[in-house]
This record gives sequence, structure tokens and C-alpha cells, in this order.
Amino acid sequence: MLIFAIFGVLLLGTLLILVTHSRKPSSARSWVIAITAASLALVASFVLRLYLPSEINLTTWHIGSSFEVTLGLSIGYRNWPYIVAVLSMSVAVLLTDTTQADETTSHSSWMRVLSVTALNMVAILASNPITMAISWMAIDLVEVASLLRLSRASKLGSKITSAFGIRILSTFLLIIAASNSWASDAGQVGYIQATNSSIYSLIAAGLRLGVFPINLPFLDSPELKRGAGILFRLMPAASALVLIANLPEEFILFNTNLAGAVQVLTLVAALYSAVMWVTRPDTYEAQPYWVVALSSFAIQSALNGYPEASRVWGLALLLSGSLLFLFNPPIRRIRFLPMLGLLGFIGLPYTLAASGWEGLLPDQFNFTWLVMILTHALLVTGYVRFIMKSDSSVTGLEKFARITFPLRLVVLIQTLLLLNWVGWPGVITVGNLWGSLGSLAIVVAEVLISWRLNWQMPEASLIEKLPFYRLVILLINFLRKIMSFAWLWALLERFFRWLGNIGDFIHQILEGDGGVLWSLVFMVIVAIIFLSVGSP
Amino acid sequence: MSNTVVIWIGLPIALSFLLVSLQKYQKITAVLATIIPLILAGLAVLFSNDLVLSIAGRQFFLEDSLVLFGRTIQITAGQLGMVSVLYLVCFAWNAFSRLFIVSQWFNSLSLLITALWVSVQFINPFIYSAVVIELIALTSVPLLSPRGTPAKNGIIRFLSMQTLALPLILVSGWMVTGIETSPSAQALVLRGAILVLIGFILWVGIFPLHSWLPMLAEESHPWTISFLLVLMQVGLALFFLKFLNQYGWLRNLPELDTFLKWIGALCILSAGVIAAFQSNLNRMLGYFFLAETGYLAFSMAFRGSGGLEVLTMTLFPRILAHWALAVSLASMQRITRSETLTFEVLKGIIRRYPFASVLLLASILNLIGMPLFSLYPTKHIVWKLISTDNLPLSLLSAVGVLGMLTMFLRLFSTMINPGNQNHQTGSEESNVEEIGLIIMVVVILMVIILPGLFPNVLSRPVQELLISFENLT
Amino acid sequence: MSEILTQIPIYLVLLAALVNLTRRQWTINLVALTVQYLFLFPLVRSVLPMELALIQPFTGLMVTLILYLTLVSVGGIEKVKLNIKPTSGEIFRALAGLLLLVMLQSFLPGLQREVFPLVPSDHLFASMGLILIGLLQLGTISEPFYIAIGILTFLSGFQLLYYALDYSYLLEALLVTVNLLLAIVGAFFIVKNAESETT
Repeated sequence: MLIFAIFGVLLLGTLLILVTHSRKPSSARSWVIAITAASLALVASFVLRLYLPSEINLTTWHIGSSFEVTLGLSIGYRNWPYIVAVLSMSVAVLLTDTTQADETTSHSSWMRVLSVTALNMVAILASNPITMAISWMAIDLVEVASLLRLSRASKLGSKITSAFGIRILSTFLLIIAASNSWASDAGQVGYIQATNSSIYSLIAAGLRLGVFPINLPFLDSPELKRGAGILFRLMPAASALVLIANLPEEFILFNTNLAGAVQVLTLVAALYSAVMWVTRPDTYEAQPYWVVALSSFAIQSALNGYPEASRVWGLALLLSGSLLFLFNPPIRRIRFLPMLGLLGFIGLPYTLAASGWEGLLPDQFNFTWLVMILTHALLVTGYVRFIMKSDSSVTGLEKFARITFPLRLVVLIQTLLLLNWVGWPGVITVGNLWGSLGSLAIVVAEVLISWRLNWQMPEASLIEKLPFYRLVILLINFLRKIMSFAWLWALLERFFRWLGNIGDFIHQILEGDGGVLWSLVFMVIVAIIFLSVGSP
Repeated sequence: MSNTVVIWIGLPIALSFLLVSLQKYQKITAVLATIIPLILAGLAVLFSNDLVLSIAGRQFFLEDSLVLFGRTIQITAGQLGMVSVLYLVCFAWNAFSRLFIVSQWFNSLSLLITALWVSVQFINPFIYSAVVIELIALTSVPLLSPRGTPAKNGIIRFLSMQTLALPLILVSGWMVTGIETSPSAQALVLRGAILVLIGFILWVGIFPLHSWLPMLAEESHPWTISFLLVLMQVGLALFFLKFLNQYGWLRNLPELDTFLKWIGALCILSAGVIAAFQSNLNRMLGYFFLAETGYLAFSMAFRGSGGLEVLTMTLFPRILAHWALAVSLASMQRITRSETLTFEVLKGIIRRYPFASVLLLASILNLIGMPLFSLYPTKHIVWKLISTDNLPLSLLSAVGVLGMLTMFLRLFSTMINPGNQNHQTGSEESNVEEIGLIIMVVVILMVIILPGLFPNVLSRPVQELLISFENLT
Repeated sequence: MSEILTQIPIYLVLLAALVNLTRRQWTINLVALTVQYLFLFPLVRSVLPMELALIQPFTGLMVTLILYLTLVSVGGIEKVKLNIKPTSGEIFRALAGLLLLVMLQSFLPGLQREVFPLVPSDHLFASMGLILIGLLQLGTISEPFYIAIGILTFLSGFQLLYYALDYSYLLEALLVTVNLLLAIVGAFFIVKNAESETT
């Protein structure tokens, strides 16, 4: 019942803002309603921890037929942390809006924050792929509607289309997975999926997270740089991460070849994104790479047979990520606060991500270890670098914002710490010492170099003096071109045109003057086929 | 009057002729053509348990058959469910017909065509219905080809194909007389099956004999063509079930199910792949019908594993989906004042007419079978049945759906990207959409989304629809 | 002698159908259609009683009349010019039609033995010939008037065949309605085309 209370509070908040604002517009009142609703929901979500696990049936399709399907929600240790994370993010984002007074922070954006949070919660809590697919579709439609309202939407047309297209494709793959899982496990209810179809779910999640292929279109619009924009970019990842966390551990056995290909793609995506993350000039531009890199970690965990371990990387993506991205303006005096976000993904013993190493590093030492540890270290370095670069002062803020600004960061930090303590049984663990210490060693070295460079990227003249500079630059440029996947789209476009030409030719034959005669020929062919099938 | 055949076939035919004579008064004919099918559908529901009606202690009995030219036409209580579905379709299309510029004959002929489709289901011997289907095709001509424009290729192709199907069906009926008792029936069974199947392939327009579907959809008003195609799809599906129900040799033919499955996959695949390259929305309407025929074929092929249950469950959602698409296309056509909806016309339209655009996109997503929309709960079952059956069929169907999604994304991209001219003149601001249109869009969106979450709302009323096919249920 | 006499209607019917397939002169086509329907009567009479056998030719004449009146109303009837040289298209269609009939003749015994053992071979030849020429007409032209003639030829061939297989008053009534509606539809197309040409 508590879960309904959370949804109720969020939806009631949305409705209240809508009604009160239409009667007598007041931004202050709308904001108070929004922050109250989100905070109440956050508190309730903590209480929910006492009732884990539990199941709620929402509706049953096709009652009385042999095709009954139950749509429902289930709350367990795999998705409860995500619920807490997204609610914390909403509270933090709403607090952010007190520091930014412009036309993009209005009652409608707060309504959107509450409603999108509620929708994402449905996806996170979905008890089966069908429920999740429905909520994905709803989220995508809401998101594409808000993207179309961006001030620069007309210039972003093709990027919006590809972003939406990839979402649609991921939903399609999820429904394929749902169809297949039922085929082999008709009796199963709840989330557990058939192992033979899980690879589709994984690819669906990978697509949604932007990993296969790297596909987070860089949508550059002022609204997306602010709180709600960040929320909308990070939050949809949560349900995809839950999907990964729910994959059966043994699914890899059924799809060895495909899983191998996916693993290679993931490793490349992770390393490439980490390099891009650490080299971007600001956090806004680096955001997509953060999502891809940590999502790759989550997928890697699933591929290594530890889907549950993906949870910590997902939480890091959401909580540590929003902590950094909401640290705007980056005020120098309080930069220790976002630095605490490192606790979410540094992976040292007894921190939140300590249990994530077992998913990231395969049981046997191999090349993957090196790539993953290096990638992790690059992510940490980038994170530290972006915080250390902060150069704003507190004087630019309004009086009340001097309280709310750090408060939003505190909300996220306290959630991190709380999850680190009571997130799930066994959350406090030493983890893989080789992984954490190896990564730490690289980070220390990188941080020292960055410190010497004053947290800026080294100047071009300095880099040029490095050994094999030309070769490395050539390699990086080549990799960037490959990873941009522009070649793939061009190839697909050419293939599409080629197919279109063939289609046109067939059209002309079938719809031209001789079409009826062709139809007669086809009739004869159909008859022959049927006779050949029918003859003994 | 106290005869089911007179009430649900004779009377509407007579009334349709009356409406023809009243067609100068367009408003009156529209109102009558809306009310009459609604009443007929309501009565059909009322009598669907028993042909007796008790009012204030008096009982009204209906006879269930009528002899005409020595042959019997019979509509029993159990069959009235089908009648009500057909008249509801007629009601749904007539209720909105005044909003769009359709043929002046639409109201009267739609009622006549519906009555003829009803008669198709109940003429005995049932293969004579093939001639009635030809009559329907001929009666549709004034609707499909309004005056003032020359007759185009689509309608001529349509007539040709419908005519070709007629002898195949009639001869099949003669050929298989007494086949059940024939000692060397195998060859005859195969021949009979070929004739029946090719007849149906020509009627519904299955790839590669589908060319008339997109051609006709391109030439005709979307409101009219969707009405005719919906009735045809429902009517022919029921008629094919009648064949299966009556002809044991056809029903028990082992190759039939395999054939139907491949037909289904081919329809979904061809519709999706061809639609992916189209730049004319009117033509796409034809491809959507082709794809839906594929799903119907699958439902019939899987009748041993509950396929017919799926067919009934999907009946109303499918009709609603086509109806919503027709509303959106006809609205688009009206607001853009263009005869055909090419991508060129639709460039950047989402900024000018957001509500109408959203309705169009949602209707297409619905027909593709995406989650959240009304067709998903039943399409999901068909996909599951296919995936249990065999991999190539699943792959072909999946490619078909992907093709449809590609088409959707191309359309979406066109609608959000303003054309160069528009962009320069800064006509991106929203044009004012009529409040009536906005309300209609919101209501239709609810109508196609709510059953996507609660499909029982639409599937439960038709649960017993196929009860009269005693050999199939 | 009597055998030759019975075969004359068959060849006249097929010849009329071939003329309709080949020539594109409305007046000649209407005359050929009339001949086709008139000479169907002895063929139908061989399998049906007199009063029933009259129905099809009578319907055919009505159909022709409807088309004729429509053509008159749109000014489509012109003086017949018999000395026009045949075009390559006309020669092709005529040859294709003839080829079809020759092929049909060679397949006829097998078809009769396997599928229609109850239908006399002359009857079968005439009906299948009309069906095939009708199909060829449908496949080689998209002008509404000729499509209507193609469908009418196809249907009359089929009706001829079906009379030898089965007869039903209901079916006959329905087929008569189809024929008449088809003529009306053909007339509708002719009027539409004429209207759109004048506007």
C-alpha cells in the first residue's frame, strides 16, 4: 500500500500544481507543493525498506482465457535502491531550481519532474517485461514531447529522431524478449525471465543506455543543462539498469556467441567513453559518456554472470552522476561535497561499489581485468578533475539559495551513505582488493599529473612532445570516427536506398499496366507451391 | 417484420435506398445513417441470447430464417453477435462522416454495404456469398471514385481482382460436393483448397496480389477506404471461418495451417518492408491493412492453440485502431487541404498542428502493436504463438514490424523537421487547432490507450462471438 | 453438318470476344458484345431449359444497351471506320488471344477428363475461351470501358461453365444483378472520364 501512497503523493502534487496554478499562478506555491510531494515520497520510500520484498498486482489481461497476463509491481532489493535514488534525484533537482531563475524553471517543469519520476518508478518496479515495456513507452512519449518543446528543437530534429528511434527499438526488443520468455516458461510469473530470451533484454537495455552501439545523441539545448534536463537524461537509465539486474545469472550459457560479441562491444564502449569522459572540457558535454561508461559496467556485470552486481554501477551512475552534474555553479568552497560522490563508485572496501567488482572482473584474471580497472580509474580521475576545476564563488547566489544549493547535494550524499549502509543484505563488503587497489593506484598517478597541470587538459604544444604523438593522435581520431558510428549510419542509409530502388522496381511491375497478368502468374505459383507442399 | 433476416438484411437495404432518395438532405441522411445501424446493433445484442423479447408482459418472437428463390437465409440468435459488430462498424464511420468531405453517397451506400456483408455470412449454400461479395465491390465504386475525377487504376484493379476471386470460390463449392465420402479425395481436396485459398488471397489482397490495396488507398478518401476495408476484413475473416467450420476436409488439411502461417508472415513482412520506403501516408493505410490480414491469418492458423480466442479478442481493438487512423488521416487531409498526404505536405506539421499530429503518430504506433496502445495486448499473444512455433516465421514477422517502425520514424522525422521554406519564413508557431478537434483527439487517444492497459474492456463483450462455429470452438 | 452448325455459335462468340480484345473502337466493341451475348444463347440452351437459357443473353443485351446509351450521352459513338490499318498492339493482342485459344484446345481433353468430366468439350472450350480472353483483356488495358468489357466477357464465360455444373435461381438472380451493376459501373466510369476531360 505504501507504494501507492508514493505514487499518490507524486500525482497529487502534479494535479495540485496544475489546479492551483490555473486558478492563480504562483511559482513559489507551485515549488513548495512540488518539493513537499517529492520529499514525502522520498521519506516514504525509506520506510518501504521495511516491507521488502512485496508484490502488487495491478491488472490481469484476458481473464478466463488461456493467455492470462498479470501486470504488476514488485519491490525487492534489486530495485528498491533505484527507487530511493530517483526520488532523491527529484528532490535534489527541485532544490536546484531555487538557484536558477529563468523561463525554463516553471510550474510545468516541476510538474514534469513529479510525473516523470512517477512514470520511471513504474518502470523500475515493473514485475515483468510487459509492465516495463508499457512504462518505457509512456516514458519515451513524455520525453519526446518535452524534447520537442525545447527552444532549439527545430535544429535538433534528426538527433531527436535518432534518440527516440533507439528508445523505440529497445522497447521492441524488450517485447520480443517478453514473447520469447513466455514461450519457454509459460508457467512463470514475476520477473524471472527465460534464459534463452535474456540476451534480447540485455540488448534492449544496452540500446536504451546508449551502449550498443554508443548512441547517446548530444542534444544541445539550454534547458538540458539545468536540473530537470539532467534528471530526464539520467532517470530513464534506471529502469534499463533494473532490467539488467533482473537477468538470470545463467543466461550467458545459452547465447555464448552473441554474448561474446556483446562483451567485446561493451568493453570498447566502456574504455572509449571513459577516455572521452576524462578529456571533455565540461560536465555537460561529458554527461553522455558518463552514462555509457557506467552502463557498460552494469552490462559487463551481467555478462560475467553477476547481474546483481550491476546495481552498484547503476546507483553510481544516478547518484554520483547527479551529484556532479547538479554541482552547478561549481562553487569552490564546497567542492568537498560532490567529492563525497566518489564514495558511490570508487569501489574501495566497505564503500557502496565494493560489491560491484565481482561483476566487473571475471573470475579468472584476463585482459578484461586490465580494461575494466583502467576504465574505472579514468572515470574516477575525470570525476575528480571536474570537481577540482570548480571556480565559482558563493556570492553569486541568493540568500536562500545558499542553503538550498548545498542541501540538494546533501540529499544525494545522504542517500548514497544510507544505501551503503542498508541498501541490501551484504552491501558492506571488502570486494575485490586487486580491482580497487589497482584502480586507486592509477587514479593517484593520474590525479598527481592532473594536479601538476592545474586540472586542465595539457596544452597542445606539450602533448605534441609526447613520444608516438602522431601515431596516438591518428589512432584516437580513427577510434573517434569508428565510435561515432557515422559510417554505420551512412552504410545503412545506402543499403536502405538500394532496397528502396528494388522496391520501386517491384512496384512498377505490380502496379503497372501488366499488374493483372503478373497477378495471374503469381496465382499459378501459389497453386504450385501449395500442391508441392501437399503432395506426399 | 418478425424475422431476423428481414430486420438485419432486408430492412437496412430498403432503408439505404430510402437514404439514396433523401441524399439531397445530407444532414438528415447522416443522422439516419448513424442512428439506424446503432439501433440494429443494439437490437442484435438484445436478441443475441434468445429470439424472444418480453416487454410489459408481451412476448415478441422472431423467426430466424427466410426462403428466397428456393434457398434459405438464416440468422440465429447465436449469430447476432457478428451482426452487431458489423453494424457497429457502420455506426462508427457514419457518426463522424460529416466531419470530412466524403462522397455524397457515403451514408446510404455504407448502410447498404453493411447489410450485404451481413448477408454474406448467412446465405445458404454459403459459397453463393461470393457473388454478394462481388456485388459489394461494385456497390463500393461510387464511394471509392467520387465524381469529378477520372477512374484511376486502383479501383479498376480492385474490381478485376474481386471478380477473379468469384469463380474460384464458386467452382470450389461445386468441386468438393460429396468430397467427405469420396474414396480418392486427396487430389480433389488439394484442388478445392487451392481454389478457396487463392479466392481469399485475391479478395483480401495478399502479397504479391495486394497491389490494389495501396493503389486504392492512395486514390480514395481515407475515411471511405478505411470503412470499406475494415468491413471487408471483418466480413471475410468471418466468412473464411465459415468455410473452415463447414468444410471438414479443409479444416483437417494438414498443410492448411502451415500455409496460413506463411501467408501471415509474408503479409506482415511485405507490408512492413514496403511501408518502410513509402512517402505517402494514404498508401500506408493499405499496408496497415495488409499487415493486419497477416495477424488474422496467424490467428486462424493457431486455432488449435487458442488462435480464435485471440481473433475475437482483437476484433474491437483492431476496428478501433483503423478507425483512429482513419480519423487522423482524414483530419490531416482536411487541415492541410491536400488530396494525398505525402511526406512533403507533412514537413514540420507537428509544430503547426500538434494535436492532430500526435493523434496520427499514436494511431500508427497502435497499429504497429507497440505497448501502451490497444492492439498490443493481443498482438503480444500472436507474437508469442509465433515464437513457440518456428524461428523463420518469428524472424520474418519481426522484420516486418521493424519495417513499420522505420516508416514511423521516417514520418516522425518529417513531421518534426520543418521544410526549408517554412523554416525561413518562421511559420513554426502553432496554428490554432479547433477546440473540437483537440477534444476529439484527447478522447480518441484515451480510447486507444485505455484498452492497452485494460484490454478486457473490449475483449469481454465479444467472447462468445464465434460460438456459432461449432466445429471450431 | 449438324456438328458444324452447333460449333458456329462457339466460334462466333469467341470471335466477338477476340474483336473486343483487339479493336479499340467503341462502336465495333458494342456490336461485338451484342454478338457475343446473342450467340451465347444456343450454348446455354444446350444445358438449360428455354426460359432459363434466355436470361443470360437478355441480361447481356441490357448491359450492352446501358453501355451504348452512356456512350451516346457522352458523344462517344463515332462512325465505324473499317479500313483502318491494324496497329502493332492490335496485332499482338489478336495473336496472343489466338495463341491462348490454340493452347486451350490442346489442354482441353486433359482439363475435361481431370476437372470437368460432366461438361461437354465444346461447351468447355467456349466457356474457358471466354474466361481466358476476358483475363487477357483485363491484363492488357486499364481503360475503364474495356475493363468493363473484359470483366463481362470473363463472367459470361464463367456463367456458361457454371450452368453445366450447377444451377440455382438464387445464384442466377445474383449473377444477373452483378452483370447489370457492372454495366452501371462501366457507364459510371465512362461518364466520369468524360466529365474530367471536359473540366
